[in-house]
Amino acid sequence: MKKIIGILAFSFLIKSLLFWGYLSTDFEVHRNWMAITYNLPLSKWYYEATSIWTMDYPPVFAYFEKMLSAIASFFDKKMLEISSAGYISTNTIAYQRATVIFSELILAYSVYIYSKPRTLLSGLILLNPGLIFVDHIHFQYNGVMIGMLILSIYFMNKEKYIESSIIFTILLLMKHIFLYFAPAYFLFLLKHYCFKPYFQPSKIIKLGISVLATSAVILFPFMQHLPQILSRLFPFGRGLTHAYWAPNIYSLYNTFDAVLNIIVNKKLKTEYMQGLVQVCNHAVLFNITPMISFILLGIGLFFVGKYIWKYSGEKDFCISACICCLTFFMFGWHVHEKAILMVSLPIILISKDYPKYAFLLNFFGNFSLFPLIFTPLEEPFLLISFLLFTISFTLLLDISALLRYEKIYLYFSSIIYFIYLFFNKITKNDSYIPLLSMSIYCGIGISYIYFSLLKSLLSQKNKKD
Amino acid sequence: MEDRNDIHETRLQKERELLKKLEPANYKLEFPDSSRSLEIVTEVQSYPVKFFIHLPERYPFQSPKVSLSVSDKLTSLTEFYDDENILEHVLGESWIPVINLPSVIEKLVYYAHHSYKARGKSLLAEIFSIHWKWSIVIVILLALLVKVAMIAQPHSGYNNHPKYGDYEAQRHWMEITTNLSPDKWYKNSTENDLEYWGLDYPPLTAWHSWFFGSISSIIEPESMVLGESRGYLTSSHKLFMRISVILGDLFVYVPAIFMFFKMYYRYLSGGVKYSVIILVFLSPPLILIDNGHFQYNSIMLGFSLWAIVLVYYDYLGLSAILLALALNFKQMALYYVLPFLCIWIAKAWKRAKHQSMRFQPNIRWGIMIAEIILTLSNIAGCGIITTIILWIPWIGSVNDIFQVISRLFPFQRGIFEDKVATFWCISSIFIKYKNIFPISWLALFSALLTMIASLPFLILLFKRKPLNLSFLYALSGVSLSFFLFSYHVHEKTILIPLLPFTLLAIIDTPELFRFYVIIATFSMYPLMIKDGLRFAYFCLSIVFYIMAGDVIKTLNYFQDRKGMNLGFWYLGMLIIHLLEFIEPPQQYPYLFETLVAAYSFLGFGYIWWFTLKSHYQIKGESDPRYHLENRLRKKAKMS
Repeated sequence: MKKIIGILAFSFLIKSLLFWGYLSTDFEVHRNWMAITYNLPLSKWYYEATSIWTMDYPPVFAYFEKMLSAIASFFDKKMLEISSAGYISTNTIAYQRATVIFSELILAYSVYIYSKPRTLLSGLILLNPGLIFVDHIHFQYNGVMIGMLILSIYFMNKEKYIESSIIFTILLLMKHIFLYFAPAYFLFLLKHYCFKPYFQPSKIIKLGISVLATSAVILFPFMQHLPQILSRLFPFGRGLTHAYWAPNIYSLYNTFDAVLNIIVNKKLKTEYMQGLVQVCNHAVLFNITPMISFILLGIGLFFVGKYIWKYSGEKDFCISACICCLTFFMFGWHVHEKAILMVSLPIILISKDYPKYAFLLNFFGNFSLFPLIFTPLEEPFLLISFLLFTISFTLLLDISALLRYEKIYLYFSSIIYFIYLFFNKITKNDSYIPLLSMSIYCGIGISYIYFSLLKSLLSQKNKKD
Repeated sequence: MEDRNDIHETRLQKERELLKKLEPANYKLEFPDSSRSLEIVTEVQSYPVKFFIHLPERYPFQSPKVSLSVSDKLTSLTEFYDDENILEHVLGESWIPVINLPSVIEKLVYYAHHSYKARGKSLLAEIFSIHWKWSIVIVILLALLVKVAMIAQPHSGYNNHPKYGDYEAQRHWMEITTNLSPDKWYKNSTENDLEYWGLDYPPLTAWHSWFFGSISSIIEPESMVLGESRGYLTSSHKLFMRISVILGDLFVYVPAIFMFFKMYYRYLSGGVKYSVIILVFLSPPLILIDNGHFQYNSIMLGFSLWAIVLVYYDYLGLSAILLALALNFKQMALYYVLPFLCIWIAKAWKRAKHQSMRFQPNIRWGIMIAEIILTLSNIAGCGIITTIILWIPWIGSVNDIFQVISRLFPFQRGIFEDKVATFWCISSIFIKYKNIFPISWLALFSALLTMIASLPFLILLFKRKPLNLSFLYALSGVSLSFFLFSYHVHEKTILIPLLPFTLLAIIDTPELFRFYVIIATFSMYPLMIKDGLRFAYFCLSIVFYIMAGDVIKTLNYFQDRKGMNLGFWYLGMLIIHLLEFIEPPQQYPYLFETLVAAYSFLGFGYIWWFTLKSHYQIKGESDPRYHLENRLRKKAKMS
């Protein structure tokens, strides 16, 4: 117990020192949500649109904001006013930043119980550069949610299926992006709970009731507003990739398109390079429609399902959850680069069994998050925390399994980093090249991890028994 | 020859009989009759520790060879990288034939029981005992992580237009030094208004400013425009300035700390050593002042520390060069000068004595005096030449020299400024010196009082052995006396006495080390409020307190020591922090600041007293601590 306190204290220190640094618009988003939930009755939460940052997370998160706003009034009353202009003050920053840090205690607790004899792993998670970039500089609440995810996975491994599924339901109603894990949960519960040792309908009913009851309790106050909530949660009109391409299969596709564009049309820029969020057209190759991405996803999930159904037997549930989420990350429609955290953090917990994949995924995942924070004052911090994490990871775990060409590819990252730094920081050029190279580099890396991990998981049976 | 062999044999025979008579309680002994090797097995916390002693042919005139094998469940504070030194360190002296095997065995077993402990007490120690080869990198990166996280924090004078603060001072010096020729740097002129942050540090700081200013004028020319760049602040230039501090830290201070630990705590085991080093790097005062408030103290401290390390290695001339660099970077390094003078004399004396032994008794004295003069003039020459090189642009005219010196020692600024935890500030609450005495008298008084407070340490420096330990005591005592009693002291200057005490106390009295660091940070609290670093102050102090607690527990566990209880001191600080919420009465607006200063003064006074007491109590070889000290620290080789 004492050990985790040391790590926790140090991570608190680092995170609190970052308070006055760069703030993204997400900071204002969350402030606005606090104001909405504080001032308005529950029925109006999902209709309020004074500010452009409307509520677009599911109800549990709204409750969470409501809770935070109750304490916020002690710090600065003004931060709880609904306005379109936005509001900022020292106390607001301090309070909101502190809520992120303290809500992360859930993450610390779940990581602690999960990795008990190997407490040092919790250092890799609590001081994970990706987590710090996204939660503590950019500003989001991923820590608390990934903490709940890990807790749920922990219960699953301890064969407390009901608890696990209830936590997951709550999590799903907190941020719907955790749908990425739903297929894994569904199949795993079916296989290891309902069909063990033979099919038992009573178990399905038990599971169904607990999940439905949880959702009902949470959603009941919003009964009449569910269509409105759904329209907020799943906005239409978003394109295949985000402004900065998440390093998945489509980033490679877009690049290929851009290269062909140069060769065939003799034009430099494609629509995807304009940094827009809307639907765009590919220049040369055929467009990826939602249907195609859905089919690709289906194919990916089929193999994941095959792994879970056939081979996941004695294994940790964590790897099933991770590979499922990673499938969504690879083929999903309009994936954010930040979503990689949902895989890269939990996989650290099983890094003893999958050291290579855990290391590489964290390496590319964290590296791809560099463009998220573009202010000069944070740049050294990004670099140092990335280096510290990478070196300590290699020291704590045996990653001798890395092949030579993989190592060469890793070293190549320094060149990519210099391109990124040179174009964006020094010349202040708005060229897309640095972001492009970053996202291709990480896209290749993560695709490689994904396919080789899937392959090794599916061929596990031949190796082991 | 045969006689000799007989002696060997009879001695061995006698010892065998002695050993057979022993009835060991806590170890097992195996010594086959025909063999010249012994094996001793003892159990520490139910894990085995094995010693192998091999008796060479010429025993007892040649020392026995001892090697050691310890269960990996055990660790100790000390670690031997080679078997050569085990015996010497366990005995606390070199081998002499008078020592016999039973006493060797007794000491080995005693050593095993008192230094080996079951593993797994401290987090930091555990982390660093895994991969000690990479530990240096990890330690540096951890320290760097905190420093780079401080980059976006506010600096001094952040919101204070148009006077600004130390950050603007440093930027302004870069501007002045890059745009004007050196002879104008310290002179008031239309281009260089000394009223506005005029250069008041010695030439090396000026050269340092010139160096970074030149880089800055290439990267961001607008930041260095003469006269027009006042108050210049962009995030890219702030980044540049912050990085320049971190670079100085990284290239001067960090290697100096590593060298010191490599030299002085030679046999400290890897895990403990690196966790202690990380504590040194995480001490809030230096981080808050250098990376927060904005100054370049780490360079001066680094040079001074290099000078200390070089004294330990007996490179006296080099140490003088480094001390001169420190002095020419910030005149505050003067706090260290007196102990340096004394140790140079002591070492020169020792060296001369050694040299003169080769000569006939009737000329020994003459040789000795000549040797001493030679060594000392060598040291003085090194220091003076370094200074002259740095002062080249001003050395031409006496006027210029005096101009620089008058900038360095501003007598008119009074005996103290703001609320500082020094004797003069605190006692002036009761006695208004300024109304009673003229300023030159006050300067004299403060000089006298400083001398009186420093003198005991300087005398003890010669009297106490081992010399290296005594030197560290004198450094911490004298510099603290300077801080407490000398003329015109700033609160930031506490960094100077803090450094030697840190290095001294970190193993022997870690609680006191933590207390000193915390109270030094506490004494700067009003400054932190001014700079907007209050939040960083609390975070750094609390985390340092917790992490130091972890290390303290480990160190006490290894040394079988009950810690000192300083809880009430911390309680006092906590109460004063709570008092901040209460509005001070109208007639005393600075009550809170005064309270902080007074409390810190008490704390520093306690440290001063403790330093003096334990310096006095070093008893050389008859001191029970001596053997432990000796194990931890390498004795400097006297050539």
